[in-house]
Amino acid sequence: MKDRLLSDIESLKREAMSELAQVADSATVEACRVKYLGRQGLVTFILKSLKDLTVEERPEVGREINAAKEMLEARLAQLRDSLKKVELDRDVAAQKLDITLPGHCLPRGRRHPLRQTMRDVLRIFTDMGFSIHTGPEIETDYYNFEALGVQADHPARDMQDTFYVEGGYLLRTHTSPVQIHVMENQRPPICTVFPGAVYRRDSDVSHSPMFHQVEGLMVDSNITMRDLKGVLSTFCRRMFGSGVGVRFRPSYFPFTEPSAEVDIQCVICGGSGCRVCKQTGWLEILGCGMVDPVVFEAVKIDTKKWSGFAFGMGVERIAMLKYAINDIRLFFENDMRFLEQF
Amino acid sequence: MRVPMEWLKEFVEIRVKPEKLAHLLTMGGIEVEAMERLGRETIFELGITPNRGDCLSMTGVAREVAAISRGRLKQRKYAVPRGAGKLLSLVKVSVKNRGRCLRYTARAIEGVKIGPSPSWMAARLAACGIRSINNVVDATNYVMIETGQPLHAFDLAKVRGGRIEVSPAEEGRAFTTLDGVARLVEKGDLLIRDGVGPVALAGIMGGGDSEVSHSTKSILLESACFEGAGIRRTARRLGLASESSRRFERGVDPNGVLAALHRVTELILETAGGTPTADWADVYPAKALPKRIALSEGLVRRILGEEIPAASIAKLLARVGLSSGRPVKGRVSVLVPTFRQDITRPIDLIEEVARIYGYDSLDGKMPEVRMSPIVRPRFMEQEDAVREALAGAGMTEAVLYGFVDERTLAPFAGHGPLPVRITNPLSQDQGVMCTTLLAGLLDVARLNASRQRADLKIFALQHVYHRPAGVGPSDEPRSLAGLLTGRRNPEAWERSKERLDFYDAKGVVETGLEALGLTQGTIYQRGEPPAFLHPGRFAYVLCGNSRVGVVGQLHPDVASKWDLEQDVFVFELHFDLMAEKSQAVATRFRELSRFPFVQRDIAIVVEERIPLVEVEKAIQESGVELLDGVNIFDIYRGQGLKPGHRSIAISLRFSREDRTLTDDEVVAAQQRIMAELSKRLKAELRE
Repeated sequence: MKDRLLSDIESLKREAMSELAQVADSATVEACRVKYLGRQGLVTFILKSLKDLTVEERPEVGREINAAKEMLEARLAQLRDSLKKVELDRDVAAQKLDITLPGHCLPRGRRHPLRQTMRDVLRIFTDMGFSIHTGPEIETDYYNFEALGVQADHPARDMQDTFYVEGGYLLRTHTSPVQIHVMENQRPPICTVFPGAVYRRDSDVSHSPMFHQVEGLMVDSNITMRDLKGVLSTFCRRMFGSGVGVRFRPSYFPFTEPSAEVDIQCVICGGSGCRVCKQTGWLEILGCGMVDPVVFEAVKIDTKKWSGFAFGMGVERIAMLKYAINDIRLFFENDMRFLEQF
Repeated sequence: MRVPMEWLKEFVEIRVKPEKLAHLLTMGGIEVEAMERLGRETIFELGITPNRGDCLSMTGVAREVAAISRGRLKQRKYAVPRGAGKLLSLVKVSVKNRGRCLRYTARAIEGVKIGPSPSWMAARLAACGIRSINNVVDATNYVMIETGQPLHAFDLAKVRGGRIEVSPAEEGRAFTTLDGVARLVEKGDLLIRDGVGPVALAGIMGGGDSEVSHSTKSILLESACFEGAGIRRTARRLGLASESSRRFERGVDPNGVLAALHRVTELILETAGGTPTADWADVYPAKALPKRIALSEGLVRRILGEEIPAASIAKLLARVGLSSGRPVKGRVSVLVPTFRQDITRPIDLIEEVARIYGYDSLDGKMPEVRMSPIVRPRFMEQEDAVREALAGAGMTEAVLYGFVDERTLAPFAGHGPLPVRITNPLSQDQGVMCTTLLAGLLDVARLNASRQRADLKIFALQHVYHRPAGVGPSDEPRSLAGLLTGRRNPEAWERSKERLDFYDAKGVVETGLEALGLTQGTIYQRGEPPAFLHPGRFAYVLCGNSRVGVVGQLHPDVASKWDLEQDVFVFELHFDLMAEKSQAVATRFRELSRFPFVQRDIAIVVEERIPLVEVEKAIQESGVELLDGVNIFDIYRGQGLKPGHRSIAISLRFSREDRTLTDDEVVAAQQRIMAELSKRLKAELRE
């Protein structure tokens, strides 16, 4: 009896293993489990036959049958896992999408190129330690002109054709009046930039009746023209690339003396001459100079103790050069085909 | 100013190529804006800055060329032409207002023969952009270009009463200038008069009646120095800028007046013949003398940041004709010739030093200053946060002009603030400063629609302008406005047909408020509708207790004014008001619950007229402490419901921070909420 059972176990093991070797899907694995390990299964049958053995015979056969059972269970589990993986791979392989259809995205809006440029310019200056101040767009003649050394009959008024509004006010022609407001409210040291919209009676491809400026002012006890060159060269290189050529040449503004205009090497042709730079290889990018004593006198800052520089630039011009835009009016037309490019 | 090289070479030696000279001049402050080639001739187009009136002439430019390129100046000597007879026997010259006319010289030439100019003269004038008239007028223009001194020739026969008087007008009157235009002269305009009336607007333009014509036999030449500001006032008011007024405005050298008179007399004798008077008039009551200005090397160092010894300063200045004696204790005493009227202070001399020294020779460096924390304007960070949030929500930013057509503001006018009017606009459609950004956004929508772009989500965040109630400056608050129209997701292939609606606009408003931390306590409220909005599809937006703006569908009537046929949704919010409130918001962390929440979904049926906010309010106020969140997830109307009713599906979330909830607690809470809903709103549970 014992020997027959042991040989049954042996042949059962062989039969089961060879059967399991043929199995190719989870359903057959389950059928095998039922056949061998189920309630009516062959292993269960042998286990039930143990009661017919003597007490001495039982442990040995019991060990064998349990070992066979564990082996089968392990093999079945292994098969289940590997088949599951195979079947999953097969299912997944059958699930194909048209990956060329566009993705679901939340349509993103754009920030206006002028605002982006303004932000970039301001960031360069705040990184250097400049504060930011703003002032009103509807101004008085005093702040816009007189305090800046431009008296009523000054020829420099031709440089800026002015819009007047009712009540004796005007639309500021530059952000320079903010200089005066700042210096009236704050004693040196002063280190600040002032962004904002300005207005001039002028309209063509390169002039807009409204445009934006960033001006700056630095007043301290030891500020010289070399500092002005250092700060503005740094600005130009950060804005247009570290390799860009920068030059300073004499110019005239009523509120600075000495005055300068700053050119950068043409960003379109790299300096060899093109239509944008009028064949000169250079592009005018900003105006600047040492604060004229007239301005300091107007705000009662002692020129014996303090000196300083001021500068100003047109944001549209910088954006036009940065993005190679050829008509200033595009900024204010707000055609979506334009705005969506930035 | 146009400068032909060949003409310039009469006054200065030019040893460098035109390209090189152009570069040197530009870097020396005389900007060569363009270079033109006409055959073998090169013409420079110079941008002369308003302070350098002395450079509006060949001799002035020659001085700069000599200083900058180190070429030799060619001094030209002109003989004083001899003549016969006394000027006084023909005309008596007097100046009434000496402050307005610093010097007046005049000389007569009798027996001139008016005809065309010699071709060389006409050609040079043409190269400078001046049309040839006749030999006498051309000579005055020629000498003006050469010396910078404006000149005028009267027909002596038309000078009545043998008198020339310079004086300001005492009253307004009409006067016809030689361009044939009748001008309105005002009190105070400086006039040249004869014994009867005005014959010229001093320094600006002569009169038509005394103009030199082909029948002219004798002429009276005028060379004078008028005060600039007065000339400018009159010229600007009349919109009459001439070559002459441009030079007077920028300052003419009173000590060059007589030399120019002699030079033009000589030229006219050469080209038109005749006999000048033996003498001339010269009213010059206060002779202008060269100024002396002291400059120290210390001040130069303070401004330029460069050590330049006084001796070098003297040498640099000498190159532009500013002479000084030997330096004493690091100071030079500089003699400024009267033609350099722009130089009145030491700082002006420093600019000359820097210019000749070369701006490029100054080494740039970063300032050495004490560190201090930077400040930014009020609400700048809030502006940036809102711009980012709205762009993230699919809104594209527009930048609008500050001015609009007043007529486009009409639909928005109501009882809002009045616009600030521009007194000299470029055109009617830019006549007033905007009080709302909606008109501008609608212009943008119309433009895009006309260019086949009907789907639009745009916003603007910028200033609007309110006229003050009384006198005083206007108010310039910031406004945040948006416009949405067309399809919600035109690019999304699965949902491209969905159209934008009120809730999209409201969602953008909520996004903006969220960026400012203002979600809590914001209320959307009905009320008396503004005329430009759809009365059933709009809401006032309230933050705390103050109305900060509106959101809604544009009234179809208004939309059609901008040729927009589809539904347009807009919002406009007082940005400054919201930013102000956002500053008071502080974010506080709330402990995370360690216990699971329980979620129960219910559907209730209520009358259509009951707003959702009432349902939410009833739930919130039902006194259930376990309630942790309420979310509306579906609205249903139609089949299976009583007419005039809608079903609202609500998700309720319950939790406690100290333990897990029991089933009984949740059931009780849910019943209590239901009871409150049916008591307040006659809500029924939908089966």
